[in-house]
Amino acid sequence: MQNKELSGRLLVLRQPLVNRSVPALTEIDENTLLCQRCQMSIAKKIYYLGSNTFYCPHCLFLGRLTNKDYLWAVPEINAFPKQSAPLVWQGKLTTQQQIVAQKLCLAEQNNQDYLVWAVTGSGKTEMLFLVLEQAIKKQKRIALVAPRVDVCTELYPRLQQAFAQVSIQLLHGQGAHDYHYTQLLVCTVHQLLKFRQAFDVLILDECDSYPYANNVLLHRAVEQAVKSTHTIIYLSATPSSEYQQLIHKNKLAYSILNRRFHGKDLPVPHFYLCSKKNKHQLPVKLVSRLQNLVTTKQRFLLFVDRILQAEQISQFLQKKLPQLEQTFVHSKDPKRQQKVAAFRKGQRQALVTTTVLERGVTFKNIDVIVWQADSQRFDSQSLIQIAGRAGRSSEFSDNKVSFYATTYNKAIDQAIKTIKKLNHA
Amino acid sequence: MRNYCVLCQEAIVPQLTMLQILGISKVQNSSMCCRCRQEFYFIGDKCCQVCGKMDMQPICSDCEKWQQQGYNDYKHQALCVYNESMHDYFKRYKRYGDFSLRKAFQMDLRKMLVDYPEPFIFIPSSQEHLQQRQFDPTVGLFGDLINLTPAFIKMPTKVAQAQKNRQQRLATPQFLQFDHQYNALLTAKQITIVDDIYTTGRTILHAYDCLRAAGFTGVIRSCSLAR
Repeated sequence: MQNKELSGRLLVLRQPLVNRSVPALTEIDENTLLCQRCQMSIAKKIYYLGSNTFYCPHCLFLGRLTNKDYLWAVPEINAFPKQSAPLVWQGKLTTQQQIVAQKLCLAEQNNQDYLVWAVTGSGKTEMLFLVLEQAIKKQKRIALVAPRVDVCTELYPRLQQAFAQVSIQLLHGQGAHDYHYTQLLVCTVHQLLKFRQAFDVLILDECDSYPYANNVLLHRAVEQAVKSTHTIIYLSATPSSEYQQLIHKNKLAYSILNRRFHGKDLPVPHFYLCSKKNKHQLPVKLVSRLQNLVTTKQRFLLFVDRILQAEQISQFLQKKLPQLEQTFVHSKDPKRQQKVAAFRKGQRQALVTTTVLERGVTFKNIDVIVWQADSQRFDSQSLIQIAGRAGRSSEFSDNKVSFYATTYNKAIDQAIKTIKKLNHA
Repeated sequence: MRNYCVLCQEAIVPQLTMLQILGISKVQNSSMCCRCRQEFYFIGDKCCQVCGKMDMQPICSDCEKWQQQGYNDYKHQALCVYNESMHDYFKRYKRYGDFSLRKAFQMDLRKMLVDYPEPFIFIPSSQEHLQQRQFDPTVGLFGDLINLTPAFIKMPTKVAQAQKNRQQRLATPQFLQFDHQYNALLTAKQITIVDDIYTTGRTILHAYDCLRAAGFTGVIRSCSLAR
């Protein structure tokens, strides 16, 4: 009887295990190796350590694999207790949510993949509860993955509450977690590389977002982590062309949910044209708007395009509007998690942020402002996501979204038009 | 052939000056793209005259303390400031062990080292680290550019220098030993010590002590990638 703790894992061994392990790097041709963990190819000419020792540069963050190592994919045994009613969630789904939830259950039954195209704030997580319950009852192993840590940490407590009796854990690269065997796993896509043919159901949230989008390594990670019969449920508010093409070719079943759970419209962004100004300063129009927000005590998020900008603008506001309590967050900020958690609890009036908070996070009653919305870093998908941070609760569904920029570009135009279209659909 | 950035794998588009287009000055093949390069802060002239710490003129508080302890004839030069990006770089290079990243700063290090005569001695990494990484990070950075002499032997220490705080680092006792089979080096006019990172100066000054104890009386200089 194999240890269930290792079930479904891909283990790295220094010595081969007869009939079970495979070499970590295998030869494609005389100049190239293939990494068996991440399925990426390795140029021998570049990635060597000494004579005849080569390593994979693509999955280094999980520990370096060399051609002297071996991998063992431990078979998944699904050693989970039988449960008759694992879902303890008391809430109710709207009719629209109900329809999607039932379609998902059907997809799970038939081991099919499915895409849910649901606008920001439509209650995607709740819609998953039924299909999760169904799979848990069948003792299936389930992974809920997202490309970013923030989305995972947001998802985890909600699932923990809804399925109080089910073993669950959160796994990501930014904290020391001891791995243990659980039926539900919430993790970043990167972590899936540590599993092989482990999951019956995999839910991929924000499937169009960075870093998953256009990343071959992470796509392979998903493909390898699921069993050969499986259900992958893709969730997105802004599906990329990759999925739209699959839908077009009838290769992927999908549902559209264009209403928020409270049934109100998505806030439509307003565009404000500003004159060109010194890079590190904000235009007068925007500053007076911020002053206004200070007096009305409306809390807000100010999105900027780069990490450096976030820090500089935060400093600038400190000087210009000292009565405004604010700070900055970005992906490289070590205190990011604390700052976001504090903001959610109602501390501080504003956050100056990069696109790191563009998706997957929910704050109550927040206005959204984007400075330099014409920056290349904001494509129409990220602008739609950013706009979706506002008006997420039913009492405050009319939060304002404003784009400030020196030019009006295609991304801004597309974002505004798409939001209007979804509102009228 | 196209060059790719060793840090982000994007294709490098060289930004040529007029002189380079006309073929008057040579095009240098960088191993880093412009965007990655911008993340690093290259130290200019505005730095401590002794150790190269940024924005501390003419001499930083660290060096003042060292000088009070009698170290007043050494001089260090570093290429970049140890900032967030440099921290990431070393994480990928040393902790994850991505040996290919040694090439990132080669062009700049080569320029910096032009002013230094041979011999060069490097600060070796511990046996344990060497076994784990299967390469010496300092040799990786400098080995392709200059002849490095392995004249220092690192004696085993309990805790790596990188895992200590400032006070602990400064209190570290001597852990280097001069290998006497290289006694011939001691007749040189100048010896240059190279290391990957200069933090408190403790390691480099241990190396300094080592050389003096071995009887070297010439000029001692040191270089590192980060400060």
